[in-house]
Amino acid sequence: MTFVKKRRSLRLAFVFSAVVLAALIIFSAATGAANISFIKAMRIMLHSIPLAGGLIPSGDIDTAYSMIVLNIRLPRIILSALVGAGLSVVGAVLQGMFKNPMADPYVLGISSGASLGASIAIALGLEYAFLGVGIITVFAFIGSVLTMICVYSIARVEGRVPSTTLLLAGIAFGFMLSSLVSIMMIFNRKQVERIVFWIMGSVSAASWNQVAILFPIVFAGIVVITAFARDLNIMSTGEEAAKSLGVEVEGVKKCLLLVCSVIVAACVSVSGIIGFVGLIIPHAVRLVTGSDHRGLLPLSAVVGAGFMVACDTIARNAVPPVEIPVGAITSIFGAPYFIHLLYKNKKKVFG
Amino acid sequence: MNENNKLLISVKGLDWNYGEDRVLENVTLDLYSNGFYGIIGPNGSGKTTLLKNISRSLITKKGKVFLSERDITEFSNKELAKKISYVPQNTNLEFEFSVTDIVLMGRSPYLKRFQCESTYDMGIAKYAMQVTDIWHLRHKNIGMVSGGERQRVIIARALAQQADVMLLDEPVSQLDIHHQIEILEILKKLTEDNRLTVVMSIHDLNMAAQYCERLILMDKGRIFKEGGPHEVIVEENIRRVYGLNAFIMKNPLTDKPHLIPLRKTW
Repeated sequence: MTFVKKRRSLRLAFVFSAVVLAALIIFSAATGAANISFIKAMRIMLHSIPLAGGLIPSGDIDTAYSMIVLNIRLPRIILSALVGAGLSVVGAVLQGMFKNPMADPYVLGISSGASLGASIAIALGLEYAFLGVGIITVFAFIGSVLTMICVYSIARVEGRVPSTTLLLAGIAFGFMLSSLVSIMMIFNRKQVERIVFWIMGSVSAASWNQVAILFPIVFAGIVVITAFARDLNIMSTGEEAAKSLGVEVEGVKKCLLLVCSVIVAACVSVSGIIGFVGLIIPHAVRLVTGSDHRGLLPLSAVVGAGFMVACDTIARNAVPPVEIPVGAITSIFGAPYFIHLLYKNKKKVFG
Repeated sequence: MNENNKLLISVKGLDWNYGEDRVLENVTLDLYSNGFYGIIGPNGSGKTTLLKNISRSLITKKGKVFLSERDITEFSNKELAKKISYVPQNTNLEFEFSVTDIVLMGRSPYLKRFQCESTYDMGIAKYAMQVTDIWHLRHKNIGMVSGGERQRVIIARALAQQADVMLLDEPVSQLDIHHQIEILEILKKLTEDNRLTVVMSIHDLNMAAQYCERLILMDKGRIFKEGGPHEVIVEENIRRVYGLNAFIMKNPLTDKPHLIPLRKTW
């Protein structure tokens, strides 16, 4: 079926996933150590909306519950949704741009840069906050931005960035940084646990400040990326052909690389390395939408967000009071489901 | 060439190096509208590089290639895509797109960023698919069609660009004889009915002689000979460029030259 004809069903799929996402967010806000019902959680959230919130009777809502939902659970839920959306969209873009099903948001080594930055901050014992954001997060962000600049400069030849060179440069540079992290761990035995847990990925340190920084980056990033959806379609059939079809291939590539890198850097800095989402969600969505990025990108964002919210809910409630790193949950629950999809549609995933 | 055919593309003293390797040397060539040109020559003689320079797939140097007397480097990619379409030798089609979606991509030079294809674009795509005889495949996934069909899909996409010139890099080299004829017939028809100019590189000299009006014989990065099939496909040229003795007869059906390569130890 062509995209034009599919548009209606794609819109339906998008609305449906958005509703599921909203339900997941409310469900997640109602789940936890403190016993708050689904209805109550919904009322607390609606009540906090400016203006319209006044219409919802606050009545029997306990301020303590209100605090738990609004200031502890909700920022974490929104943050995980943003991370999920950002990583999934970036994964979809990189797979299309590199014409490689194995590409994921971390393939350019950005995650290793973030790990190294975070490890340095942890090893130096920099535990205080800067403008409401942990200094570890700031270091991780600096680490990923520097990595991004290095990898890009290594791969650039005469103003062009050949995909293969970029991929290899990213992988090689990533390995180098990862080994530096290992060495740092050896020399800072006391901090090993902290570093390992940071790398495993978690959104447990979420705050509204982080949400306020991450939201504009992820949202604007996804909008910019979606604007290039048709160009991405054409580029996924070959860069040479894309050029002759009027796509400014190098310009589009640079712009997308920049936007993707900033999204990944921001996501990784607040959450550590959450694997699987950025690799598998785009493939799972592709089974529904096909390869057309105009459907794939928006749907990946919503499905990725929902998946992360669900995983994080499990991560913090599965075996209380212990928290399982959400990075482990994404793979434990996601991989079997994806294998099931793969088995069902054996040939459909990549041509 | 016909008197009323306009000068469309002119290449003036084009050199091209890949690093140290000189691939094109002082190539000068005029291509007129509505012609069917075949670029022939041994492997490595610079056929593809020449096509890539004209299509600007490579970063063409300034002041070397002109389209309607305007330097090709001055065009934006979108502007150029409305004038020149290009069918590369290998097209990566691993992703899941329907044949119609692929052909509709040909309309993208005419669309704004968030604009969706209109029924007008759909009409042009439909026409392109009918001309190339792939209309019946329109709902099929591109991964499911045969090599000959896929080549026609890519040609249909180029056709949907509604450009004046279509450049094709060895469009038939990977196809069986039946599909070769099919593609060449389509291209011939396009030059006749749609006033399209076709420039293709091709290895099969007999096919080239049968279908092309003008042949450009390349040798080691230079144009060795340019002219009608009778002027280019002659024993002397073949011996000097291909290092091959050949017997050339007149095809009794088409009157075009027909080449029979001879064994080295005859």
